[in-house]
Amino acid sequence: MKTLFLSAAIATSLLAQTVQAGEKMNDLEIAHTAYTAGQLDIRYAHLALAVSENTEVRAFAETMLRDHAAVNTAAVNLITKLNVTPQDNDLSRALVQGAADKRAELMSLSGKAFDCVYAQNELGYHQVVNKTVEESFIPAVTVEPLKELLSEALVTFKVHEGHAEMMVKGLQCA
Amino acid sequence: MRLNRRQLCLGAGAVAVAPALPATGAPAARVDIHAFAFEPAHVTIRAGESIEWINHDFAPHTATGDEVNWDTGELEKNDSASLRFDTPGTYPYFCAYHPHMRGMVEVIS
Ligand SMILES: [Cu+2]
Repeated sequence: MKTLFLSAAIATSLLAQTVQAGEKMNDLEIAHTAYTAGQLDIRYAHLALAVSENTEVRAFAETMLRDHAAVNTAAVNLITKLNVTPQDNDLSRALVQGAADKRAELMSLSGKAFDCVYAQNELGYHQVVNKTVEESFIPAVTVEPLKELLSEALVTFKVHEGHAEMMVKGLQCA
Repeated sequence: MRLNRRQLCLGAGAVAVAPALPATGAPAARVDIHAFAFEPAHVTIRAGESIEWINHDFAPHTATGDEVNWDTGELEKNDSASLRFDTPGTYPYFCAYHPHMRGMVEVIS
């Protein structure tokens, strides 16, 4: 229970930081962070497929791999077409660091404990990313095709959030 | 002795003939997959006609029969697949990747 509160607190502070940071970011930074967020979820999914033996968790991870890869391929195509280079930034770095810490925690776990932390994190992660994309990135972006891409990606990420919520409930972790 | 396809299927017991087969030519109906939904969710065709599914989402989807005995295969963005239904009946289906996505094919004689 304590861990749950703790991770919720971290998620909330990251969210505040995230939303605030998003307001001052330019198009190239936003593109970088959105792409990074997808890549990090792909890494979580690879870890889940290596560790978890739960059918639901594995199916979810497979879906994350497939969907985030598709969105990021579209992002790469757009970046190539626009001939621009996304810019690394504080928010991308914070996401990368946060994910590295979470992966370290996950790697020390197995069985149901792993499944619960993975599922809970997928829910929290999609909540934070979705809120940031919706309330901060999409309104801030000035290049129309990037705005469209983010809007369409958000549809996918929201489905993931709903799916993660069901996964958390199904695992009965608390 | 060589078994023909039908005998093979019977011999295998559980394996039934797929109710939908890959089709060529103009489909009688089209289902757009958009924002994680089949549109329209319910289509009616005559036996022997085919349906085309087109995916407009970034996320890959499938149209897969509830009994997993027919399937479009993975449809990436802008991919399409057509399947022909020869036998009257109702064929509920879902997306194998996002099972909350549901649709229904109704085949009349
Ligand atoms: Cu799907």
